[in-house]
Amino acid sequence: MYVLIVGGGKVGNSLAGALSHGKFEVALLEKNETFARRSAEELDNVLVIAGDGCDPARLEDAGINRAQVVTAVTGDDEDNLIICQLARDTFGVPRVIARVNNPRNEITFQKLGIDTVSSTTIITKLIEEETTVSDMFSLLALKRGKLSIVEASLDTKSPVIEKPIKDLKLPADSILASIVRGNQIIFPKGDTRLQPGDSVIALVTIEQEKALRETLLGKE
Amino acid sequence: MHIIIVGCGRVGAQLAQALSSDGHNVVIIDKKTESFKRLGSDFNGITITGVGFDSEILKRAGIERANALAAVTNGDNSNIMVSEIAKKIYNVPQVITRIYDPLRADIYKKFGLNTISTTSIVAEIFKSAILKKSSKFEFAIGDDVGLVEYRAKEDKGAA
Repeated sequence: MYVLIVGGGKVGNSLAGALSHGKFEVALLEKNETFARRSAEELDNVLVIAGDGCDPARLEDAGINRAQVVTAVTGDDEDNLIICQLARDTFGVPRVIARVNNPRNEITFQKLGIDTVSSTTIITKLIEEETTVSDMFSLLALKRGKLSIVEASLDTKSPVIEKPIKDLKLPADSILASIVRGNQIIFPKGDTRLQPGDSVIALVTIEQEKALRETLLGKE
Repeated sequence: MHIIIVGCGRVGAQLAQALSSDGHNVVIIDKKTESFKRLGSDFNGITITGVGFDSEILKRAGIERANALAAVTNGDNSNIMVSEIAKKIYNVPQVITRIYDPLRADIYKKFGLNTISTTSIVAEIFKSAILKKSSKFEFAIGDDVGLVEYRAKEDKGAA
C-alpha cells in the first residue's frame, strides 16, 4: 500500500517512520528544503521529496496517482484542507485524512467532507472517558462521524441486567457487537444475559446513540 | 448589500473603501489590526481582527446574512478555504476568490469556485502593453462575467 504523507514536521516524520517498518510504501513531501533534507537523513525506507504539497505537479512527483492513502499533517489547516481536496477530487485517492491544528476548524473540514484527526480533540476525549463511570463513550467514529463504536459499562442499576438480549428493545440502527466480562470476551446471542460489570461494545448511528444509552443504562 | 472582505491588503482595503462609499454594508477581516490603517479615516464599515477561515470570526462578520464575500488575503490556500466555507457551508450567493497561482485557480474553478488569478491578468496586461497590441485582451470572472479591453489603433486615417 502506497501512503503519501504531506508535511515533514514532527508529526509527519514520526508517522513516516512508524509506517515505513510495516507493509507500507511511504513517501513524504515537505515544502522546506532544509526540513526535507533532514527527514531524508533520518528516515530509511521513505521517499522524501522537497516540494509544496498544495502544488498538483509536486503531488504527482510524489506518486499521488498510485497512492491509496494521503494524509496532510502540516501545521497549517488551510494547506491541509487544500492538499486533501486535491488528493480526493483531482487525483481520486480513496482515503484522505487531514490533521487539524485548531480544533475550531474541525467542523469546517467535516462539513466539507474531509476526515480529520485533531490531537486536542483526542486528548479531550481521553480525559472525559477517564472521568466517566458507568456510562457510555465512543471508542471510534466511522463514516465521518455518522457511525460510532461505543462502549457501555453496566452496573446493578442498569435496566437490562439479567434479561436475555432478544428481549431488549434496542434502537433499530444499533447492534451489540460483544460483551467484555472480566477477561472473557462474549459474542452475544439472543439468549445471552447481561450482568453488572459487563462492558458492552456496540455499533450505533450517531442519531441513535442517546436512545441506545437509555436502553442500556437507563435515563439519567 | 452585506459584503464581507477577507484580507485588508492593498486590494482588500481599496475594495472595502469603494464598496462602502457606494453605500454597501462592508465588514472587513484581517489577521493584523494594523492592516486596517490602510482603510483611512473615512471608512465607515466594520473591521474584525482574526483568521478569515475561522467559522466563529465569519459568524461575527455576519456570514449567515451576507450577499457576497471576497477572499483577497495574500495566501491562496486561505482564500480557497474561506471561499469554500462561505459557498458550501453558509451558501453565500456571491463568492469571489483571488488566487495568485494560475494552475490552482483553474483547478478550483473546476471545483465551482469563482476564482480570479491576478497573476494571469497582470501578465496579460503587461504583454499587451509591451507589444502595444491593438488587439483585445480579456479574462473571465466566473462563468458569466468577463472583462474585455480594446485598444484603439493609433492610426491616423481611421475614423
